[in-house]
This record gives sequence, structure tokens and C-alpha cells, in this order.
Amino acid sequence: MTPIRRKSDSKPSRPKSGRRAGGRRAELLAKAKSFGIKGRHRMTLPQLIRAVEPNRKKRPIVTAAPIQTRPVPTAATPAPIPPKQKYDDLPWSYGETELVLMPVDPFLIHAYWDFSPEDWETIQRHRRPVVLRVYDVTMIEFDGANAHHYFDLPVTLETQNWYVRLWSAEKSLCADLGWWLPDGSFQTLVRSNVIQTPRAGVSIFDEVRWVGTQRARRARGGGSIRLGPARTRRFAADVWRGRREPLQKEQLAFWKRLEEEAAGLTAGGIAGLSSLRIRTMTPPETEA
Amino acid sequence: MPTGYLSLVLHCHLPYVRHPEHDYFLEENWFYEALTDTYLPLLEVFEALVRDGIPFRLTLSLSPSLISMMADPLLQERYLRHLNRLIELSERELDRTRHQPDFHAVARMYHERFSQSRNRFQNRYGRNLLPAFRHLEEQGVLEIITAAATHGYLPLLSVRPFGVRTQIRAAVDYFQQMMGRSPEGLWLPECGYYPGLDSVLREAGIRFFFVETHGLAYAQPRPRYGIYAPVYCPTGVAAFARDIESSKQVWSAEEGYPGDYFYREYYRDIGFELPMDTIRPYIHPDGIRINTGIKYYRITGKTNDKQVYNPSRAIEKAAEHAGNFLFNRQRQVEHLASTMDRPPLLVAPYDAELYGHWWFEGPEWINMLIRKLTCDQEIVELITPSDYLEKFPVNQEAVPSASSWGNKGYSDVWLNGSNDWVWRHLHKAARRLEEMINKHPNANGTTRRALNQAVRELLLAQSSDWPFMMKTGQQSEYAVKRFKDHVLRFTRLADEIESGSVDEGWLKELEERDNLFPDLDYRRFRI
Repeated sequence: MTPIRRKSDSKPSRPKSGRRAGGRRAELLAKAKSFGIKGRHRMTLPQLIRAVEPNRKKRPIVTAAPIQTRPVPTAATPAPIPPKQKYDDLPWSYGETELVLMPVDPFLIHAYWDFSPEDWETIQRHRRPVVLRVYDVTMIEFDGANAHHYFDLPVTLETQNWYVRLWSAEKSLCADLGWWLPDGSFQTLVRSNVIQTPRAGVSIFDEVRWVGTQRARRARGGGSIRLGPARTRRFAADVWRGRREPLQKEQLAFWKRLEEEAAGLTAGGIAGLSSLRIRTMTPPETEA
Repeated sequence: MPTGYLSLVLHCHLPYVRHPEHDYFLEENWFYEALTDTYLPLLEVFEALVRDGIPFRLTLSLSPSLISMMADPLLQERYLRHLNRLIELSERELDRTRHQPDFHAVARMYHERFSQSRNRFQNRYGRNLLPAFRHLEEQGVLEIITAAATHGYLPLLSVRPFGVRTQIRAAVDYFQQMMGRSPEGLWLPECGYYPGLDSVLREAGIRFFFVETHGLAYAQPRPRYGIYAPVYCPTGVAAFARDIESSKQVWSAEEGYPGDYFYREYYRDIGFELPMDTIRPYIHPDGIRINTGIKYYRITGKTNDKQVYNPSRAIEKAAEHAGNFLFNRQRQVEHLASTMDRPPLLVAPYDAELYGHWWFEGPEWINMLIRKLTCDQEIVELITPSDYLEKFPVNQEAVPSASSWGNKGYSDVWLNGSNDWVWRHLHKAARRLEEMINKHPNANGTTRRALNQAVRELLLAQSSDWPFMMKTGQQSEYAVKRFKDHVLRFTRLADEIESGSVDEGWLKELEERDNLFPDLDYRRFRI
């Protein structure tokens, strides 16, 4: 599949055809506007045609009709979530389009999503396979195109949630639910929040920075420690920078041991300790 | 100066269970059992230590939902009813076991315990334990801290920061109201921490919190003293980490003390063992067998052929274990002190309900441990986090790693196939409440009451106990029902507030039913 380049339809060497194409484009844009198609100005000509085409087949434009900004579900395609006034069970959907990520552990994240009735309708009309695209946006301000890398996972939208296994920890992640358009480009339906997955081991940074409190300075008469200006506002008012020292041998051993113990812990070495509280409330299970 | 410090932290929490709509409600027994088995015995231990002039320092975290239950007249009344029945049952047991001396001795122990509990609860404490705890704090032996309002698991609530703020602010306000001062520390439910949470704590005036071992071991930059000294988060709030060795000795099912063969067996309760005709008046009115609290056997071993419990032998064991625990801490701090240029700090936090309820001899173990610590040696000294920060105000700055003390150390327990569905509702409700509060910055009359109640319902839905119970599968139906009830009540309140037609009769009913934090003011949650 070759992606269609955006500017192929308006080459400067053919002003006439360019104008013609431009005229066509303006016409399509106007139609797209009347259908409430978002992102229409960024679409190529074939994309515009495809975007407008299904709408034209379904609803012929009546010039006198008021412009509708969103396709309205008709009786034949009812909104999947009828408004509920009863309070006997939780709703399946809240009728708002969103995608939310949550970190489970350093190597597992969870995503859940919801769509407005209009968006469900659009999705069902197009019947395109939907993918969850996960972006690695660690240490960058994500603008939709500058991720370090991304990967796509086919998902079943009706499940409304998905778990994603990862191969590296301590990342900032963001995700899109979207689909591939016939021209090979990816269209985002909804974008998630940005999350940070936890660190899975000892930090590689060992620069030491000591912080005292105002109370500390008062206790020491303000003179014994050379305290610099505050980086944090109120509480940690006085700071001084420690020397950077290489780790001593015994410290390395100390850390190795601590790391092993912590690793045992995160692998479930000590059974979930907080569980005792509830375990105490259970009827006997061990005795026959 | 001692070679090292030990900070014992007991975290007391129960989910808010109060059902005025039923005369008898099974799950309310959690609270009554915890009172009889844990809170009253702990108070007794602390008071005896004070009486004997033993100086000690211990940190106690009382979750706001638990304090609410302690202060509730209906639950107080029902606890007395529960105790009266228990005493009646123990009297019957005295009679039933009169020809079996071994059993009779145990029955007598229970009878005395329950009678004393009633006497202390009713006469000494006037039915509310909170002033007793406060008094111990005034005497300088306890440092009481708070926890998140209804024990919400904050790392997963943080998708909507408003949800986290509600938990923290409601907790701090309620603590202030009940204790007459602001809390210095806050117990993060399930030790659940994520970078950035400290700024919410800072905002609420909290000075310290606790994280699981790897929360500090994996902090950035790498803490010079590992987990044996606190670090300051960039916001200046101190993070203390749980010491893994002292935890293991008490907690671990295999290596831990509570599994000793001389200790009382939890799972042999007469509620399940006596013939139905005998026990019927003391179990669930529908004939469902439940734990009564009277158990005659000791753990004995991995066998069903249990031997009779011997209280004095078990107390000897508890003293032995306290000695062993202290010995191990001494060796631990001596070893650590050789690699550190200040005394190492061991933080040993436990769920308080372990002591007494699950581990029957636990309060006695604490008693013996404190006595040995203060009278027999000078290597390890008890300290509270606040005292430590006074003594060692200069600490390393680092950002703890996201972590929890749940199985596998992260959010797995509260976010998995059995309970992942709850979060979308909690996030949605938090957002809706935030919008409503901004829309009604100064509501009056019914709308204000409805908004206050909406905050309560959201808080109750946020409790980490519900997803936890869904995960373990025990009482999961109750957990699902409670969660749904609170979310649905919230939704209906929100709908009614938005449409401007609050059903006042129903609101009143809710205020009486879900009545925790009676003085809560929604305007406090405006950002």
C-alpha cells in the first residue's frame, strides 16, 4: 500500500488542473463541513471523496435544511445506549468518547474506553478493524507524530478494555484507538491520557542531594550547614548539594542484597500482606 | 545514642459497614470482632505500659472510616448488644465445658475477656474508643496519624486527580475535627504511591507517609541509606520505607510467628462446630454459621487433629517470639550501622487487625516487645517518624518509585480481570463531581446537602476494600453490591442536582444511612 501524498493533486506546473482540483476540493470541503467531518482540511482529495461519499449516499443534501453538525442516528440505527433514568444497575456506557490508560505494573498496562452514541454509530457504519496504538512518549512533549516508537494491537471494541504487555519499564506511554484508512493513513478516533509506568529496578542515578528543613536550620542555629537557596517552595526551604562519590564496596554489597529482596517482593515473594485483614473475616476453609 | 531505631506502625482500618436498614447485618461483625479482638486489647496493652511507667513511642494510623464507625451511636449500641450475646454464650460455654477442665479453662478466659471488654467499653471509655487513643497520644506514647478518607487506592484514582484530592482532604479535615489538630502523617492505603502524590499530601499539610520497600529501594536518585532512612520528596514530604526483614518475621505465613503451633487456631470456631440447636441463638438469624470468637484449639500442626489451647503456654511463646524479634533487630541494626554514618531506622508497619484478631496473642507480643525494648537493652530504640525527622532533619532528596504493598508490589491486586470494571465508574464520578462543585460554588439548602452527600457517596465507592474483595473472591458479592450502590446513589444525586429537583425524602434517607463524616462540606473540595 503506497500512501498518497497530500500535494500530488496540485502541482504548480499545471495551474489549470490545479485550479480545477482546487475547485473540486473546495466543493468537497463544503460538503464535508455540512456533514460535520472533522479534520477535513488535512485530508487528501481521495480521502475527502471517501469521507463525503457514504454521507451522500445516505442523506442527500437538501439545501434548505439546517446544517447538522453530527450524523443523527435514525430509527434504523438506534443509539446503542438509550438514556436511562433508572438506577438499578451501572450503565454500560456513559455516552462520552474517551480512552484511559492505567499502569498495572512496570510491564503491564490497562486501557478502557467509551464512545458517544454518535461515535459508536460512525464506527459501526464503517466496519473497519480498530487498533490500539501505543506510543512511547518518554521525556517528550507528544504532538501526535514525534513518539520514539509505537506499536499497534488489534482490539475488540465491545470489550471496552484491554491489557497490554510491555517489554520495558519506566516509560511514558500514550495511546490512540484508531483505524487504517484505505489510503494507508492512520486515523485517530480517540487519544488517551499519558501515563508513567513504574521503575522495575534500582535507579541508575546515584547523585546525592541532601535537603534540610527550615526547622533543621533553626535547630542548628543556622550556621553549621551551608544551606543554599530553596528549589522547592515552602517546606524544603534549604538545600545543599552533596558531593558525588563513587559507591564503596560495602555499599555495592548492601545494594545488591536490597535489590534481591525487593525483586523477591515484586515477584510476590511475601504473599500480599494486606490481605490478612480480609482473610480474617472469612469462614473456615482449611478444616474439613 | 542507640545503634539503631525501630518504628512500629499499626495501621487500623475497616471499610465503612453500617446498615441501619437491617436489624442484624453480617458484615457489621467485622467491626465488632475487631473491637473485641484488636482495638480494645491494644488499648489495654498501651494503658498497662503507661501505668507501669514504661516509656515508648508507637505510631498508630486510624483510618477516617474506622473513626467514623467508632464514633457512631448506632454501631456503639449494636456492639454492646453483640457483646452481651457473646457474654451469654461464654456463660453457656462455662456450663457446657464444666466436666472438661482443659476446655473449661479456655472458656473461662473468654468469659473474663468479654466481660472485661464490656466493662471497659461501656464504663471506662463511654462507648467511644477515640478519646482513649487521644489520651494516650497526650501522654506521649502514641503518635496518631490518618489515612486516606475511605482507604481509596490512590495510584489508580489519580487518573482524575480530583478523586485523590477528595480522599486526602476529607481525611485531613475529619482528623482535624475529631482530634483537634492536623495530622502529621498519612497512611497511604495499601502503601500505594505514585510520583506526584506527595504534592497532594504537601498541599494538605502532611509531613510524612510510608511506602513499600521497593518504593524507596527503586527511588531516584538511589537513596544513599537504602530503606534505612527516609527521603524527602521534591515537595519536602518525607517517605519512610517498610523494612523487609522485620515484616517477614511477623507477616509471612510460613516463617512468621503467628503460625506457631502453640498459638490459637483461628479456624476452629464453635460457631461452626457446635450442634445447630446449641449455637443457633448466637449465629446469623437465618441459621448461617459464623465465627463467634470462641475457639478452643491451638494450631497444633498441619493436622486436623487439634489440641486444646493453653493460654499461659501461648503467652510464654509470645514472650519468646518478642525476644527473638528484638534479638534479630539488634543484629540487623548492628550490621547496618557499620555501613551507615547515622543510626539505621527500621520501619515495621502492620495491619493492626493482624494483632488479636488473626494472631490472637499479637497484642501480648507487642506488650512483651515494648517491655523488652525499653527495659532490657539499649541497642534499638523505639521512635516515631515525627521524632526521627526532629532528630535527623537533613535527609536525601529523592522521588520514590510507584509501588504498593499488594501482591507483586504494584497495582495488580486492584486492577485485574475481576475488578478492572470499577475504575471507569470512579473516574467518571470524580469528574462529574468536580464539574458540579465548580458549577455550584456556594449552594445552599437542599442542593448543598445533596452535594455533600454526593461527596460521601463517591468516597464510599472509592474504598480500596471493594476491588480487593472482588479480587480475593471472599464476600465479593457484598463488595460488588456496595460499590454499585454508592455509584448509583451518586449518579442519581448528580442527576437530581443537575436537573434542580432533589428528592428531599430520599436525600434524608441517604444522609441517615451513609452518614460518615457528618460535617463534611463540599466547598472544601473546590480547586
